[in-house]
Amino acid sequence: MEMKVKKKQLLRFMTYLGVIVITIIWLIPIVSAVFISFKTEREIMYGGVWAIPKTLHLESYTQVWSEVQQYFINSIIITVPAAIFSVLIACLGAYALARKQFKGNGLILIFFLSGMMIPYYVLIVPVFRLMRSMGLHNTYLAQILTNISFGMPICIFMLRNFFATIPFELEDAARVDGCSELGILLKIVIPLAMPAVVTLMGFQFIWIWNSLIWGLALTSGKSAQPIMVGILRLKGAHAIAWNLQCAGALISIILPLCVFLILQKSLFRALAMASGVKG
Amino acid sequence: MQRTRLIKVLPFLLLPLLVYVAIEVFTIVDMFHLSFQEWKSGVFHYIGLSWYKEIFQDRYVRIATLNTVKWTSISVVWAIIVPFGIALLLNQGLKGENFFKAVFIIPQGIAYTAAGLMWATIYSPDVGILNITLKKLGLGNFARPWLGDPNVAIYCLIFVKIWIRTGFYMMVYLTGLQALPKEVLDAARVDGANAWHRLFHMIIPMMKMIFVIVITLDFIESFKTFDIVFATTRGGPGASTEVLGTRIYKAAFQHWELGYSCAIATVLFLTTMVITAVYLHILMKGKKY
Amino acid sequence: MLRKMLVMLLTVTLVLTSGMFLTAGATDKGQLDVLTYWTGADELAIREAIGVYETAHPKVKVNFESLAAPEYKLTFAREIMTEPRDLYSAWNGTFTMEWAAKGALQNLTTFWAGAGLDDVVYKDFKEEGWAKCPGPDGKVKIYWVPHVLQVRSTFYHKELFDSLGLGVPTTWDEYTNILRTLKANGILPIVVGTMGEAYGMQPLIGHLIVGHCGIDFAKKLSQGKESYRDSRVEAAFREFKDFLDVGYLNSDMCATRFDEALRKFGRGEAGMWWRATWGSSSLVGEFGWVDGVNYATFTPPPRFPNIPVPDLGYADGWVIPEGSEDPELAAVFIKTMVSADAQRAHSVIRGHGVTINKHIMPSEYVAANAPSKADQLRHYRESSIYLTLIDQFTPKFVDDYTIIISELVTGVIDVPEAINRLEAARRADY
Repeated sequence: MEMKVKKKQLLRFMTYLGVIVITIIWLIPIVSAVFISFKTEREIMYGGVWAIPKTLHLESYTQVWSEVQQYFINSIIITVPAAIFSVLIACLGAYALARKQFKGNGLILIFFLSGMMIPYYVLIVPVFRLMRSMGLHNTYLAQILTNISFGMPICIFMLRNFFATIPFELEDAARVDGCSELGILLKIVIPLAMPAVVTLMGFQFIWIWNSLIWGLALTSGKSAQPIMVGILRLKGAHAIAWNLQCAGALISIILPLCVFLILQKSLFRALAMASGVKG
Repeated sequence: MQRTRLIKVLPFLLLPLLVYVAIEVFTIVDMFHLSFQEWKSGVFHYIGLSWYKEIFQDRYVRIATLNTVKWTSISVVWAIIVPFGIALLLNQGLKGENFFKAVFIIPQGIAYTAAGLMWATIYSPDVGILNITLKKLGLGNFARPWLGDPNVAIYCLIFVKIWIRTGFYMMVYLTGLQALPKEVLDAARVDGANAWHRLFHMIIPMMKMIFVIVITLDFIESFKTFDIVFATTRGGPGASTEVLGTRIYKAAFQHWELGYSCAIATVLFLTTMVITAVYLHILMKGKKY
Repeated sequence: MLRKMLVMLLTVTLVLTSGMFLTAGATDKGQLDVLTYWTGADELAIREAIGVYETAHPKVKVNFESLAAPEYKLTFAREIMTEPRDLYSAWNGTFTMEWAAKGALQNLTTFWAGAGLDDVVYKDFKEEGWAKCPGPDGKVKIYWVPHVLQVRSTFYHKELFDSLGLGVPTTWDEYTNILRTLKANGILPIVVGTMGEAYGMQPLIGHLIVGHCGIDFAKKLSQGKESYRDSRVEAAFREFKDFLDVGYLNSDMCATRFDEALRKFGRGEAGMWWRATWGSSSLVGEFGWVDGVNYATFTPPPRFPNIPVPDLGYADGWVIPEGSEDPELAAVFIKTMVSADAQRAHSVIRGHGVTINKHIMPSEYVAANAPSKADQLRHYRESSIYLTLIDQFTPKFVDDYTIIISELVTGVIDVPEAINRLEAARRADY
């Protein structure tokens, strides 16, 4: 009996140890990046990485910010409209697919969903050509449109599943009152699904902000390049400065990380509902 | 649910379809079209199936495909074991559960590109935390130029991706675990079923759908690999970290063989479509839409 | 709720439309948009030269952007065919040849004559592969103007060498003796940084190939006209592999970026750094090293005394895109850049590369302040510079070459397989 208790205690101890070790490994990258970003060149070269910076040198941040400012603003200009509009446009389609039974409903849904499976980079050449031929090379609009288009599948999928959970009685009541279809969407369905809609917009924001491929393929000058492309240019700089590189990476993740942390609870709730798992 | 005719819902579907088709779908057709052409002196010329013949002789496309498969397999195998294990542990109500959850979930909000840069710092042979720690612990023999060693570079990059995604899958498993009917499990425990039995014969089968979802998501995610490699090794020492994404990109924007890039892309696209079709078929069997 | 959404939509639409106007990016007269690949300490060098221009032309605003070489090439490739700037830096050789053949660059023959560059610039630069290359119609014209010459040089840690009693080698035996001595004293003989590119490994390989095969064969080899299966080429690669195996080069070179390697040298962690003359600007600028005191340069001796190895180099220069909005302004800028004042400010004072202006004599200023630079200048005046081998590769071959050599360097493949694959790639890419 004693052995069993001891065994259980040992197992419990090992479990805790294992989790703690993995947790430390998981924390190291961010912690190390933060440390490095606050050091100077010399401290990194001669002091090693483990040393906690005695003074917080903010030079790397000021230097990086002055270079990266333009890219940061570009990212905002591209990501915010793209996130908002991709969700709004998808609402229209999801409403029809979720709440109306018609011939072709399933087919159209599959048509949208299959877009999720495509690795985006296979389309860089044709999208590049398309944007160039429309005269939209190196513009914000090209990237906004592309991100909206490629965001359709996931937005329609999530919204459709969410809209389907709203009881039909409300709809019928509104229709009796003389409400139009669009009115039902705007006044009933979306308000009720608001948490999911907002969460999805946040999710789109994170996804689009963090993506690299369209900024890379569709732009060539600083004027319209998003931040993920911008920090790569830092990396290639002649004087490879680890502190600049880390500061740049941290600056680029601040916004989406905040959005993610705020929304992550509702995100998982929405995900659970959307994939049909009750809870 | 209201029964209606397609024509009546069209106004709602028009805009999403337009946006979707105008770019994502139209370009697929264009990609296919361009794969039979060569770009010379700013103009496209038809060259039939030449590019496709070259694909099968191209050593680096082969390596990239193998690497992509390698990446996907390792990633998926990890995704069904480790995050699940962590979710199981966290589900037992350890102290500080929220803290652990936060630690694993935070990387998910970090872009692959930025993570690549941060990890490049860690993997650096002189200044990187990994080698310095190994040397301090007396394990200097293990220290190596991680991203410069063709034998390990790709695994280093795969771990970056794992670092980012594990938290997400963990949360998915956790949600699933918490949705399991507790009474059934308690009844089994009372009946004398030990932990392993409960795990393998009850919990896992009940979570089957979740595992399918995780595998699907991870599979798609792994094929989309591009950002991490591009931000760090760009194909790595030799061709050891080349993946299909980097190969297609290089063929297009570095070698300026736009047609060839489209050809590789077409083959990959068709393969993905076949896999999707098979997968959806299996999934749809027994589900009413 | 609905009102809130409408307001949100309105604001977003406003942002969108204003964003579109923000990218209209009109270049007004009196502004020169320039893109170069001079970053870090080199950027300071070129800014000095630009300063000369700006003083002479106060009304023109020089909109100058600088990217590291790999990013530069990608950006250049995308801009040049769509919306080019007014002026670009360009390496001679493959880079310029590729774009001239595509019709992306302006023919500068008239400019060269009109600006009287024959009287200013060393005549070697008018050779094919330098300023001249075939245009879209196949006819050879001038498409590039030189700015600074980069000579393949070995930088060595003079203080270290002095303490070990080592001097500048004149024979290959002396050179290998230096390598042996450094290694025996626990010092890395040559530090190389070649992450993501082949240029780092190329100086040694190129030197050995020319040393075994002679410059004419080596030239043809890099232009795709000779076979890699030649026994002398194989001998050269075998010697390179021996250097690797014995440990004369750092084994982590594929994880080290080219500028990291230079900084390792600057920190005193290696005996030599073998790349090109631009290194001096970083050593001087970042480490405060003095030419002739902390470091100096030499050209490694020929492999065999009967096969001469000329200086190999390449040059940084300027090209004007076909779609440039203000080619006349760009041309005036170039003319200033090759003038003695700008050249002195940049390549002589800043220590970056070797001046291309034949009116700047080695004895003037340079000999007193930079003795090894004086040597380079003198060397150059006495013997011609041949284009480095890698700068004659096609872009696709550069990529394939990089992959194959890095596999050789990291031990994935051995010399026979490397040679077979190089030969196969040569046949496919040329």
